[in-house]
Amino acid sequence: MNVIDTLRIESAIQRYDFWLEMRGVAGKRRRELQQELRTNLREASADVGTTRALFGIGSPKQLAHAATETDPSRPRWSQGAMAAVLTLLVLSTWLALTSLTVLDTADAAQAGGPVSVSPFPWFGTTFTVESTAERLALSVTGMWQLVAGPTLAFLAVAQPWRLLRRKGSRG
Amino acid sequence: MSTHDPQMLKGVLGLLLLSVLLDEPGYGYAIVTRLREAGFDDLAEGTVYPALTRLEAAGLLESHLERSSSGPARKYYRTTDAGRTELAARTRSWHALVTAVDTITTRTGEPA
Repeated sequence: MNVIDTLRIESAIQRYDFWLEMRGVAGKRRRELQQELRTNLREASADVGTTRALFGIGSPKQLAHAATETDPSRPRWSQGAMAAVLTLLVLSTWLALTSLTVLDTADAAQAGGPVSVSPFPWFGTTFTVESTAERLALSVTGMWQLVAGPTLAFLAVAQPWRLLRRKGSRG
Repeated sequence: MSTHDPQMLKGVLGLLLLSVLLDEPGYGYAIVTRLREAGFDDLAEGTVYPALTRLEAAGLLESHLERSSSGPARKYYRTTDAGRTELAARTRSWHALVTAVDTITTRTGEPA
């Protein structure tokens, strides 16, 4: 088998592995499924060529889905992690925009000494602005939403309680 | 080359796999080849491989690894005792279905 064919097969296997991971398949099981597909693809490639072998397995995403459809109750750790990162990015951007708005408002109002506000929806988070002729400063404290938001997103998407359900069904 | 309705084929794939692995173990691509030689020319590997995984998860197939001279170890499947029982039940269902379909189609005959 030449290098190009090997790369094409490995590319399909990596996509298969990605979708197995998205389905929450554990690492050891993923490696077993990967290895089995690699062996079968190499056998098929030697028999009918790599193009026909890859065509035969169809979409790696659908293959991964079909291989795991009888066991869909695993926690989706990777999807949970991605949801947490996305939530953190959205909240950070929102916090930055709110900080700029608070800063602009205090500056425009020439508030002078330190002014503290907790605008919606940043309950428990305090934005303190000091706007004088010499100095324009902002401090933000108690940003608990940046921890709570991603954590909730992670738990909601990953659904770790599926582990308990799996243990219960085994017992 | 014969063609089969994909949905119909999917319905009997478990029966076919349990049957071909009853006496002779086989690994993924070899099983596909065996079924193609038996007349299922349009059977895709992407249909067979997940079906093997599901049947193994259900305890109807068992597997073991065997070293191969041509590359990495192959995963060989074989029908288990539970698989034999399931195969008998599925075979009975299949024959009952064929009989019922034959009863209808022989009455209506071939279209002109």
